[in-house]
Amino acid sequence: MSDPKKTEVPQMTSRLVARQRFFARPIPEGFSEEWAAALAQPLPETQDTKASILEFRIGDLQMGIASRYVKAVTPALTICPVPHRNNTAFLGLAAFAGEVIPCVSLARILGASDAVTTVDAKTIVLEERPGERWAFRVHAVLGVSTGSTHERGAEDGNKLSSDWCDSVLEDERNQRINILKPETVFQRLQRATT
Amino acid sequence: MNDFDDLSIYEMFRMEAEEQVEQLQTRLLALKDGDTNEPTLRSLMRGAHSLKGAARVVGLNAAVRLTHAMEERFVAAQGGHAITQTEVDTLLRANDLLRDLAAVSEEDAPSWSASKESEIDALVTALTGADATDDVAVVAEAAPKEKSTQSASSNIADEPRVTDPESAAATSEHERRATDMNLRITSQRFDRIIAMSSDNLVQSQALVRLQEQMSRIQHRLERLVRSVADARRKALLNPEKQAAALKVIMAQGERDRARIGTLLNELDRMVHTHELNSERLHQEVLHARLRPFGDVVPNLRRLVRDVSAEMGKKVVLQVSGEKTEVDRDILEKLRAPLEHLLRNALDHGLESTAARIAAGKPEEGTVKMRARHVNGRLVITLSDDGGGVHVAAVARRAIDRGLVKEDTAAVLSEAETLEFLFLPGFSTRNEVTEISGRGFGLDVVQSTVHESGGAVKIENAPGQGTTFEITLPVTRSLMRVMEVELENEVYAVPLNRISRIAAVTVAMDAEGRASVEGRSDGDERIPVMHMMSALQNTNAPVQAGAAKVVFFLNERGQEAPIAFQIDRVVNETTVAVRQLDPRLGRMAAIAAVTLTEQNVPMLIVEPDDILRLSLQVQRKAPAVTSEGEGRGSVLVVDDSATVRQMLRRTLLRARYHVATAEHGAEAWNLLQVQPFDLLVSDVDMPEMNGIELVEHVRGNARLAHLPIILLSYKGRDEDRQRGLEAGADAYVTKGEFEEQAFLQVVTDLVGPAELPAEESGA
Repeated sequence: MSDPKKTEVPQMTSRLVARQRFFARPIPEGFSEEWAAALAQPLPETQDTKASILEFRIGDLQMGIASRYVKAVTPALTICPVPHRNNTAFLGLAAFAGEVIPCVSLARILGASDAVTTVDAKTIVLEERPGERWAFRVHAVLGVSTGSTHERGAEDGNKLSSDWCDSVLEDERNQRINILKPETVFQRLQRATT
Repeated sequence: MNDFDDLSIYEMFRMEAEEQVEQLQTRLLALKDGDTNEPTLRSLMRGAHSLKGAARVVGLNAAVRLTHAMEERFVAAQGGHAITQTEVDTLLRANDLLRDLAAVSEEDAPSWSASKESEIDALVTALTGADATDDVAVVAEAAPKEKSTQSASSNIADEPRVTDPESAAATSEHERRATDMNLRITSQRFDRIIAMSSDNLVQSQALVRLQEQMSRIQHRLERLVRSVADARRKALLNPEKQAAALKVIMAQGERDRARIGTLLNELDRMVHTHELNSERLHQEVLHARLRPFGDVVPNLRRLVRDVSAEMGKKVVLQVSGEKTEVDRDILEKLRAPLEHLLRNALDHGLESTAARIAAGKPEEGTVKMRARHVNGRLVITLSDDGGGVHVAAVARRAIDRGLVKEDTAAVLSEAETLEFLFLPGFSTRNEVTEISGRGFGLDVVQSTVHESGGAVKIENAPGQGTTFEITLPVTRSLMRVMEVELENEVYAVPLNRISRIAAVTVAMDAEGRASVEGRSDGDERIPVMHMMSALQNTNAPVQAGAAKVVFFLNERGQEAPIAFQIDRVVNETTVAVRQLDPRLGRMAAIAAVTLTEQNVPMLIVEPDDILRLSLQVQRKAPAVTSEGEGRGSVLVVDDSATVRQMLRRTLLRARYHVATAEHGAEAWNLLQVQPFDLLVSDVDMPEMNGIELVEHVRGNARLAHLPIILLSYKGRDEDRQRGLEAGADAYVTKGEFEEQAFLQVVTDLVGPAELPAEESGA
């Protein structure tokens, strides 16, 4: 078997020489100034409106919430009702990942149908900050969508008030999905829990 | 790997210093004037010597000099040069400095040493008898300052609650560092470990059940083998092939049976080991969290020694139950209330020596402190043999300060009058002393204890003394419970509160009252309530008839005079107690939560709440429904029966419907199930205070717009602002209470009552 190094040496040498010549050539006139001027220009302002949301349905309301707040989507959790609290939006306590977390009916808070009987029903676990989690039931989880966000317009309907939603996400199929305002969601979940 | 491998040398020094200064203080306090007790002096010398060596290792020369001087003094005492009480004071001050040093971080240590240099010089001079008399004077001036600094974290009587935010923050930062050093993990992580180990123990119970199931399988297999053997005998009469097949099956079954037997043996061993390990792990972790009550005692003895000397009173502090184990968080929170109550006892409670002699009492006053566990709760009593609280003086001061009108004060019970002592700024003393009497403290004692889920009670014996009783929960533990089923839900009832469970005949009288027979012939019948009534604050129907399951709770060592019907007893088991999520707020009748083996939350009920709520439901349900419905209905909430009645009568006279509740939690429960047009609430109440109640109401979609009047003795601008910011529509001060003005506020908020006089009830 022949040694490849021996046959490649002349070829490598000529390439190195060519490289050295290329990099050793004088800089064209005005080249440095041109680049310095280009780099000194401020970057064009770009607004990153890409977002990722978890889309779900409660009754006939279809909406989404920023994925970063979603800790998990699970099959419907068993809820332990709490005395004195059973006539409010607070449904009770559920176990999730070894923790006991409050479970709230977002449907009742939104004034939508609360009857969850379909096999598609799921529980969404949200986390506002570490250790503060809530669970709520939805009729169906429709998936995760990414796209650009826009202000909500008249064409987006008004089933959700502006307190709850002021922007929409337009996904790859040009479908517009109402995005819930996280501050409102967590505030209402907290109120329902206490 | 050694437990301390991840600690720096400096952290090791701090840990050692913390332990040594506590031991030094205890032994110094035990030294009598001129004491030459050799074992005590030897241990003091060794303590100072060890600390000196540790300080030298980390290069803390200031601490080396100080501990060396202390050691020299102890050595001299061993040689017969007895230590005087004045020198004990100096040694205690030196020890305080070392305690401060133990709370200082490594990076702050050089600046700490520099700032304390002159003080250390003076202490060294005082202990070794060297020159530098000027420095001694510095010590004399600096010492009280240091003393107050040392106890600043827990002194709530002498210091305003917020004095110097920066120094308070620095102190708390030091405390935090010291605490972190001792725990070496955050307390949150520690709690999670406790929860995990507790779950581990509960899971081991599941293994036991698995073992039982396997045993059943084994028995079934044995039956199968017998059946096959029978079939084989029958097959002997038939073709040979069948017999051969059956023989094979039987052999296989026999092998399986033997295999399962082996597995069971193995499982049995595993279960036993696992149970032991889990128990050991849990006990280990749990006990690391628990501290003996005695940990706070040396500081309290020091306080009694210093304060009684300052006041010229002879006082002895008798402590019992020092080994009572207390959750370390609760113990930390107890320090300040206990110190305040002690100061109060020394200053207000115990009379002067002359007065005691005149009253025929021993010259030396006695303060007794006792810690113990009662029904799973920590109970601490602090009593003195002083003159007791002058109830009339308390009432007079309340009237003088405009907190209550003279005619109202006249009808207040002693307990209600003593409640004034827990109001902010309330004191019967005219002069301010260094010890107490600045008029704040007992309200902070109460709120601190409330925050920990406890309660403070005061018992007064005029001429004989005062007793404060602090009750606190001990909830971070495993608990034996009885699982009971109610309307398809399972609840856990602490087993130590159940007096008995019985299947009995429940009879119903003509008025629909359910009862069971007393324990023995001739005893009165015992009323029965469905447990759901207490849990839901409703009148859930009791099922009459034979063999109905009821249980009885014990209350203060006696069986409570009511029985609770349940649907069935599910199980008796051990559960891992978890704190309720603070976002849920306070929940009446529920103490904690646990996870079942099926990983489903199960609520642990609070027996005291169950008893109290059940009696309320029994007593109040008819009155509430007749008085509380309809337009113009007002819910009055106040823990004082007198104030409640006064408001009720005022509103009834104005022809409003009135329902009443004793505290915020009860009011909140009523608001859930009944419509009201106005809420009138006191601010300071147990269970749920008025501010919390207002916040609950405002946070509830249905009740958010309910008009609310807060009524309180607290008349300061900040109190008023706090109430209004919480969401109250009006804030009325009880001290300025005028019936017509109050009714005008009511009318402004809800309009005049629209009900005829005969419908409003009386």
